[in-house]
Amino acid sequence: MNKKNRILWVLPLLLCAVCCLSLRVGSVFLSGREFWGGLLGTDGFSTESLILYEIRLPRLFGALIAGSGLSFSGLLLQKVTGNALAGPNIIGVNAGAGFGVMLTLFFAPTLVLLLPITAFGGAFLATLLIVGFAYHRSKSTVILAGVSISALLNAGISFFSLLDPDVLASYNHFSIGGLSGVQTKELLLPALLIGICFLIILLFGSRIDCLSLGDAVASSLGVRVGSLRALCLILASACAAAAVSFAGLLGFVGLMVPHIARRLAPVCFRLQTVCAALLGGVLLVLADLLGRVLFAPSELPVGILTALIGAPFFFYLLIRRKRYASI
Amino acid sequence: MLRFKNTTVSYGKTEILKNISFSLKQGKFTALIGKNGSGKSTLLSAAAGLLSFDGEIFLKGRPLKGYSSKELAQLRALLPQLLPNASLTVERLAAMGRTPYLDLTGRLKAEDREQVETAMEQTDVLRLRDRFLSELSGGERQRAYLAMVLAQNAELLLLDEPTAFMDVEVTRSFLKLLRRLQKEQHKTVLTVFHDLNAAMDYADELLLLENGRLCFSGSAEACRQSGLVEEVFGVTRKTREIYQ
Repeated sequence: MNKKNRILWVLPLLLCAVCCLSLRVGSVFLSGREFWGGLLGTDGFSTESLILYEIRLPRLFGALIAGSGLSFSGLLLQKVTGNALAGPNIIGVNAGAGFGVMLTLFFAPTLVLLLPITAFGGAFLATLLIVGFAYHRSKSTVILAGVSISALLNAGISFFSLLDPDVLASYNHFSIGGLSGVQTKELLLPALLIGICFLIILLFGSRIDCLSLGDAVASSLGVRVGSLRALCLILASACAAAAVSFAGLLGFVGLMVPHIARRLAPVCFRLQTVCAALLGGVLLVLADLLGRVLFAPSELPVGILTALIGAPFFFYLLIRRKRYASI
Repeated sequence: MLRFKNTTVSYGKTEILKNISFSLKQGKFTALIGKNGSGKSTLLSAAAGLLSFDGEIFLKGRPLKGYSSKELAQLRALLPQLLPNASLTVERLAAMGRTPYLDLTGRLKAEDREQVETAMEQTDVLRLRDRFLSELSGGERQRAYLAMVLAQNAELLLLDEPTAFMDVEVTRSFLKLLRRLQKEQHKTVLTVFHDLNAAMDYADELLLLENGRLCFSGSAEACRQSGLVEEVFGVTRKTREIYQ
């Protein structure tokens, strides 16, 4: 079995193992019998069923969807900007989502149900603004425009939080990021959106590969570089905006996972995309699991855990950076 | 094959190429020479359809702007001066040369694989096929990119200093390869040379640029006799025919 096939087998198995663990382990440990009984409903309307269907399965799906979405976003952004440090925050996703949430908390604090929509809207509008500005301009323009728009929106967030300090406490909960209280129904639209983006990324995978040859070579091969880059940026922003709409501003996933995916599949972007989807899921499910058990019955937000796991591992990768480290 | 008619290319308000007119015949090898900053790379990029321009450029009798990007990529191939050190193997890079012929799935057909193998064989990179570009020397990487350009199987090859990182031996075999492609497959070659000896001894035709203006277009022999090279470059040409 070659390396490519090994990866395609090992990662899904790893993901399955982590998912099983996440469903069984928590503040209440479910034995094998309790787990299957609760899952299949053979014990009727039991506590185990309640734990699984109301708490753990929505969290698990949330972690898988957010992990995949942020990873796709980071992978695309690092490819189109040719910058290994690019992540969803670089194209204004975090600042846009944060600003949308802050506006809702400030002007309509009773409409908390609107928060996922305003987070998505803020993130997507901010990135569209950047894409519109950077269309047919250089790769570095994307990054610089992202930094500028983010700075502007962050200033807006700080301004509103100064006007009403109570809003700041609610905003902090969103900015740390977490999956507690996630419900299945709020995952449907993000899952659909990220799924569609995934299929489009796979469809254009071989063209996206050409972007690593630089604009001149890619254009000479018949690739419409400006349009493809704009498409990638829109897909990246849609994926990240969908993820932060229900999971908050999770850091590090969109930066770290693409690096590991490129290590596992250094040549083919399509395979990198599949790896990123699986790895993003593994990382967030694992972080969520640890967050639930480390200080049980208290809970550590998943955003803190992703940074705690991610930062040392990322550092290790940088030290061991080898031949396929370039994008 | 390629015709510039009163073509001007500008970056912002600065004119890089000024009112250029010339034509390249099918199956000819033309060297583009000129001092640094004279507009050689800009001329190649304009000929490749990568830059906007005033005036007209015709490729095979049709205006360049009338071609779709895919049609254009099947007719001309460009090897720019700066080649990125992408995370790709040599074989994958060569296969990318087939991009203009593939659908969105990017799946190579038997004919595409054959072209890729031939291109890698011609540029002598078969033994490097599984190596990453970052593991290659400058000359090897140049040859890997040339394999990509040849796999593109275009009639017009636009090469920007293709022998820049090659040693004398590899340069000679590469120039022989270009000559073979030109004679056997009637490829038209327009290449930037900094090595004046190679340009004068090897090319059928010469284009000489000075400050964005074309000051000579014609045979190498006519250029030699005109004394323009010495005038533009301020050098006397003594060494000759080392690439024959």
